[in-house]
Amino acid sequence: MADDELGGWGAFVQEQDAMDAERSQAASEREARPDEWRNVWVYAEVRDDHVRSSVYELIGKARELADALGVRVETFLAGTGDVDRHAQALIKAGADAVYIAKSPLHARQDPDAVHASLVHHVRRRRPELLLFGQNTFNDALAARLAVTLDTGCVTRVSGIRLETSERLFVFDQVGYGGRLERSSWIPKAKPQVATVLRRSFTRPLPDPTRTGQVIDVMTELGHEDLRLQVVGEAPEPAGLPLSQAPAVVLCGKGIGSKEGYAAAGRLTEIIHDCQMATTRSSVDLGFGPADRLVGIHGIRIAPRLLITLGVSGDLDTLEGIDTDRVSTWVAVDRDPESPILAMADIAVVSDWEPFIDALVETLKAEKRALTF
Amino acid sequence: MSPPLVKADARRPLVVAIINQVPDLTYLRIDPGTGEIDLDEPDRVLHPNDRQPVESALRVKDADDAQVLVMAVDRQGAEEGIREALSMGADEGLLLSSGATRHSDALARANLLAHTVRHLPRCDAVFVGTETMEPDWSTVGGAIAAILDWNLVPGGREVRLKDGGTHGVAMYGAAFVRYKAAGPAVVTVRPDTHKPRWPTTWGVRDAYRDRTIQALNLTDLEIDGRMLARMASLTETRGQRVVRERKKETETFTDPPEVSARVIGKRLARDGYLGGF
Repeated sequence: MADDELGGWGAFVQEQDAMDAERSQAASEREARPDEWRNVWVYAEVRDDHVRSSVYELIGKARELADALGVRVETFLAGTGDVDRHAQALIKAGADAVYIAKSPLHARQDPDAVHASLVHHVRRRRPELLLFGQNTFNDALAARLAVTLDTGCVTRVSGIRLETSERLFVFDQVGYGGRLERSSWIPKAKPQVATVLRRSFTRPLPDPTRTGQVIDVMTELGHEDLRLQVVGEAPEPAGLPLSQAPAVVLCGKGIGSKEGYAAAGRLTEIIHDCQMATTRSSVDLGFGPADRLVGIHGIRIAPRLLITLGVSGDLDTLEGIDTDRVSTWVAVDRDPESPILAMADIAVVSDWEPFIDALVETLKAEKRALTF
Repeated sequence: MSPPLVKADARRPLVVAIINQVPDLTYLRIDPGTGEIDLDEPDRVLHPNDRQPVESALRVKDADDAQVLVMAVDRQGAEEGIREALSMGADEGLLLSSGATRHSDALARANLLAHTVRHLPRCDAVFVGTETMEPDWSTVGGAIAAILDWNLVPGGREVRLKDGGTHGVAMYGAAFVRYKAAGPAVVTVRPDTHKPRWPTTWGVRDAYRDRTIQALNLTDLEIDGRMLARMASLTETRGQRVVRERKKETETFTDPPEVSARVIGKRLARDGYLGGF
């Protein structure tokens, strides 16, 4: 029967047979040389000419796992121009080697170019674990890579443990709105591919005495490898809605004025992905805008970091906070009897203004120190 | 000859929206024997983020006169999810019924979905959400693109069809660019892309009273044992647990504000809240 009559079925079967053969070969290779999958890799994602902070967190965890296995931590960086300058920071954070794949096609994080580079070098160097920071782009990249390499992929990982007896990794994943955790592993395939939620691991302090290798690797990429053709820039979509903001500064009527609300906004310039919000009483007094109202009649927030300034903690406001999701709650109030202080993780008995002035200065200094 | 999977008009563009059913955690049950969560028991609901790929597909329908097919792997409540998408304006629903893949990992289900897409009379684009409550669902779009060897448009928005290809906005790393590409594409859609439309009264009546949803099993999809083996999960779950509410203890600072701020600021930095770079 002709392929046309089969609706493409014959061609499909042939293609699947070819894929079968390729996968069998890959499986045989894995079985024949199981010990050759070694080392922990971290994909060093560059954004706006900086290595993303989550990469350093991953290197910290990778170092711990690699030390337990007696292998190396290696990072893979795809970029263009003077990306070499990032290598020393990655080494000081814990990497033993930094592979740098330079190509003009990596000027943007082109999904096809990054995928092609990674596939080529992972096949060649055979890491046993490959870690990405979790985001929309990396989830798709990791999944595509896993299918191409015929292995499994787990996402939204918040913890990694080593099953030493089997030389496998167990991944703790957060799902179902943060209410469930599950542990997964990929027992029969390598490399193990995972995307890891930000702030799951502590960013290591840089060790200025560390040394490592910086290795330029070939990237034989041509424009024919790119499927998507870029025809222009697109504006960033408006930021996350307040309901999904990972950090929120919530100002109550204790903020005292519209100017006070604006002054507290300095925190949002330093804390990552931080947004301002306000309470019903503050809106009624004209201190905060109505579209930032949190509470029964407003928006329900579920940040990881919540800073409340001059908020008393009445029921109206508390109904708008998913307190189960808050990891760190800093409450500032001058009244030591204020009920909100007992609900927070960190209670600061103080006027909010001198506290915020000092906090802004401390955070600025810490941010400078973090930029290796 | 393989059977026609849908009644779609092969002359008009066809776009697919893939949805995933997740448990309604309001009615979460714990298996008393194992102490583990019974994910079969709770009702499954259409996650709000899964309305995003449906909305993206409907916008292609509005702009390019495309037909919208909603597809889901059969898990409890999947039909309800498809009907909700039909009531928003989708044209057809397809339920992939396979006991063998019901408990498989996201990549195995991506294999089944890709296989089905390949069998459609035509398909110009597949839209799939990047996040539902299921942790690994975000891998499905990238996996389908790799399996089908199609274009992958991560974090796509304003995607339209033109000259047998697609164009729109894609996510490159953390930046957004306008792109065009020849051939069909798999578009992953972020949760904040659109404000999804609500079902209309007529849409609800139509979806729940007048529409039948086509259910296909492995035989219909011509999946034999060898193919099924290829679709086996590579990822295994080793246990799942409810996150217990932690008992919070408050640490109180009554020091001068600059002293408190120094300690707290260093702690926030250490915990990664400064993020960025």
